[in-house]
Amino acid sequence: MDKNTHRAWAMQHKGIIYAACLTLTLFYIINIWWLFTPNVGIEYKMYYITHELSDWPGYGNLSYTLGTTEICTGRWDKDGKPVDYAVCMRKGSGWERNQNEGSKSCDKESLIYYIPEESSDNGTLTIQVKDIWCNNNEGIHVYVNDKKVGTFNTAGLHKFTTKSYEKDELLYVKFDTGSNEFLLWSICLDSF
Amino acid sequence: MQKVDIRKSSNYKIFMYLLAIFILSRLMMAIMVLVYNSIMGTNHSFAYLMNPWDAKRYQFIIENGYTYPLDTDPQANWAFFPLYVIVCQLVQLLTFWKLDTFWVGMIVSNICIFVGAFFGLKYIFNRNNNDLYNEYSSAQVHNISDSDYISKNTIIWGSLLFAAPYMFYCSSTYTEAMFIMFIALFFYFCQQKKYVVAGIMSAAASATRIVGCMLVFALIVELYLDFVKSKAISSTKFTFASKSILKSNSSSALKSKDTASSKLSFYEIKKFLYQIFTTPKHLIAILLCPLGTFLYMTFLRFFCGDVFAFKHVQIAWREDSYIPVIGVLWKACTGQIEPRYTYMGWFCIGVFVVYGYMIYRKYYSMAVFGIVSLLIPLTSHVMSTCRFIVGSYVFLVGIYDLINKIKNKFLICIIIMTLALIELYLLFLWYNSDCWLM
Repeated sequence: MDKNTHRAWAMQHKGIIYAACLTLTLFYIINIWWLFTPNVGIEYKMYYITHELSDWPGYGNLSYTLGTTEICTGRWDKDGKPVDYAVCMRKGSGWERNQNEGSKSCDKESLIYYIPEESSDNGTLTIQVKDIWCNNNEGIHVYVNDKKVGTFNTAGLHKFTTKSYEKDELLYVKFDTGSNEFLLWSICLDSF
Repeated sequence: MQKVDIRKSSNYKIFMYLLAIFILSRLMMAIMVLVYNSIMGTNHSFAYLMNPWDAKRYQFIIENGYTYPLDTDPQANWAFFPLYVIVCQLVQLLTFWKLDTFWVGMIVSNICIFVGAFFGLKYIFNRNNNDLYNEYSSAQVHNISDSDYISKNTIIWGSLLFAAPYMFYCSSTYTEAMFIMFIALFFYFCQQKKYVVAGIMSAAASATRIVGCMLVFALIVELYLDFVKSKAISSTKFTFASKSILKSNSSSALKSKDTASSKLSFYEIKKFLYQIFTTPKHLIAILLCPLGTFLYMTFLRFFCGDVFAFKHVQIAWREDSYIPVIGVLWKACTGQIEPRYTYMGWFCIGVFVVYGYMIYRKYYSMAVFGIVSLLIPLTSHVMSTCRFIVGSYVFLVGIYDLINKIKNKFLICIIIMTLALIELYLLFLWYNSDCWLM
């Protein structure tokens, strides 16, 4: 190989490597772009990415059929056997991990998320409170999508009237506990 | 044609010594199965006892590929990187899917750790014979054909790679062995100045475990040291006064230049960066390092829509959050979490000391990789850090260097035996699926 051919070959060789470098850089940039724009379902996003859900509901299981009463325990009982009732696996932040006897609030706000399968102009929210520990007289305020629907300060069954909500749109029930605590056993959203 | 006696080659000697230690260590593992079964009154097989916890997840992925999380279990298997799985699937294909998956995994792991040990030792011998690094004068530089020298180093190194505490992971269906192999090959090729091949090894490591990406820092350090060294050599060559020094004592001349030139300044860094960008082979070597992880990320984008799924899925394992590194170590070392984590916390502190020693001994790139790869798990928890530390390989090089400095052979034997006994005890715990190993 003469000098000029060698130089030309070396230049070409260099060019190929720089082209490979450019391709790799583009490939990495595309991946970084995908990192900020995940193409995932809402359950995945809220559990794995934003950690808004404290329980993994499963794909598509945040959707809710109005009128279903869900029990706020885990999927397994104390002995590790699966329970045979509908479990509320849609809890957000503000709940204790141990939920064998129901879900106990552990923060100033405790959240539960829904994606209703139907729209509703007026409906009801029914909760069964197993126990309550009130440190003040204010009780616990209940909100549906930031609209206050009522307050409770005793254990037992409580029913609240809710405002309208849309089909397939994320809805949340918020318990503003302040310094109080309560143990939620069951919850049900329904329309009139 | 002249006949070459392969038995006289140093590679053959290294291979045979390592093989002997390897067989002995695996024999001990098999004997421990009998010991365990007789003590516990069980009748479990070797494959069953060697493969608890994550090994079962790898078995599932090898047999079924990646799957979506069940409604009842958010611990999705895409937390586990794919290269080890792919290699195991290929080996299983070679056996027409007849060989049990655990045995396939164990065969792959054992081959990998052997290859890793072999190239690791080659690296060590090359380094020991490079008078730029060691403290011996030129006259004392070791002769690779010296049988005594080979046997001493191979026994220390082989014992560490095959029979030191926590090395049983490298015999089970876990990624540790493959990861160690790629790291050993990475440093070996860096030493040979084959940076593109080293980059490919790093890419393979990053497709085995996420921490493999961090080899990019080790590569940058290696390139910088090479840059400093080449500058020192060229300036020594062209300085008339230095010529005589070079003739009389090349190592000390280069050493002094090495130290003098290694002062970091903005101008030096600028020159180094310029050199990287004008040397396409160096540039592509750096860019290749994280390729394995990015390929897996691309797969995840099309599989589940989230390129960072392997990171996001960690929430299903670890819910407690502490202040990264400092907070994690503080909570662990002060006994604020479970006792096994107190032990792991102090183990991490000890490992940082070893990395400090490695910097002192000029294992710069290895120490940087070791520190970075330990800081990553410490951002969330000390859980499984013992496994991560031995799996990052460089810690073993540090321990080897410490042991190798001992002149008394009897003391070396005692240390090796002690380490092997600890390994046997840990192996018993492993067979018993003991939580102290988690």
